[in-house]
Amino acid sequence: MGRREKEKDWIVVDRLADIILTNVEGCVVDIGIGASTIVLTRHTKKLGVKHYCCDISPRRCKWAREELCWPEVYEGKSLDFIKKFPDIPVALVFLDGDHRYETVIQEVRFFLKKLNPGGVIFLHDTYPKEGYACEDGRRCGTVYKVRQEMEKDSSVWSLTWPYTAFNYGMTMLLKKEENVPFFRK
Amino acid sequence: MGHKKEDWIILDRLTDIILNNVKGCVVEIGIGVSTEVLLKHTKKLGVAQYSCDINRKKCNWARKIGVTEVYEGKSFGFIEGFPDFPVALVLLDGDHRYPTVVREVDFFLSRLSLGGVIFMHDTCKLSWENVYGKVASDSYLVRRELERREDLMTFTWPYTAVEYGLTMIMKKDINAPIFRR
Repeated sequence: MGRREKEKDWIVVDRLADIILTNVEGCVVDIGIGASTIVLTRHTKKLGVKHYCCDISPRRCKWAREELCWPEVYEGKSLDFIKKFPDIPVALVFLDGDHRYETVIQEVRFFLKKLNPGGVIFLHDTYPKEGYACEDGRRCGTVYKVRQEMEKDSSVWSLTWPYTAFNYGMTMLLKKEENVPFFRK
Repeated sequence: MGHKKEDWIILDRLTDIILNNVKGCVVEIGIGVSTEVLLKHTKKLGVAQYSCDINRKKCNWARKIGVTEVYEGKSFGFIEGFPDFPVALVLLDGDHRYPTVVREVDFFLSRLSLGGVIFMHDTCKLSWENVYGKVASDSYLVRRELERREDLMTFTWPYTAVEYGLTMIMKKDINAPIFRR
């Protein structure tokens, strides 16, 4: 929670999470524990939806286990988390962990496969301010490159909120249904 | 008016976020339950709301609930007389024929502030009967055209809004540095 996150920074996720979870079957995955985890836990607990979260920080993981009591917490790197992730469908994913393109694109590709149609991936730090797009993964890292790649992918709908979430960009990716008539494609 | 307030839950949840971050008025083509949903936010935030419909009864109802700028007539006429204001949010749910929807989208894209959103209803209907049943609904064609444009972002919710598809369109800042394009 390095940026002194507040729950209101995640207002877009907060407003949409219950709509997504009441319309799409599947669990919630949250990579990068913080105030967003509090927001998501409120919805997953209320709706009885399974919630997985992951972080490399033992302190954050301990906090999530002890204070939130609901999500299943994985302490370690997201790519290891992915390897152990159960074979279950996913409805909502929130990605705000490692900010290097190489890691985030793997997270996105993995969860796009697991995502039920209509499910949404929220991707933070996709619209960095001047000086915040850092090749070494600091600040917003190179997550914007994942956004740019997804904008070209016809299997998903993609929209980026330039405001809220510290004004660093919050991208929503919605997986389209396959095998639908042309007027739904 | 057919729809229920819950059908517009996405519009309801996002309107104040948009209006708190983007300068401009609200425009709605096709008066109905959505008018009330939008009015709740525009009234609270002191934002001007323009509503348009060809149906006199609906226009009178909109005036009665408190919409001050109501245009009775076709959207073509509404557009022609539209003031030179920036727009933050648009809901298009009037005539669903291709030439009309294209004209509405083109016009309001030119007026839309950066970060503003055009919501377009009936863009992802469930069956062919829904698309070309009693009344032709070409909105899905417009959606598909907009999805191909590199200067726009498009995102379609297949659920809520009577499950007929609610598309959000946002302009990209074409003058932004590469990492914001």
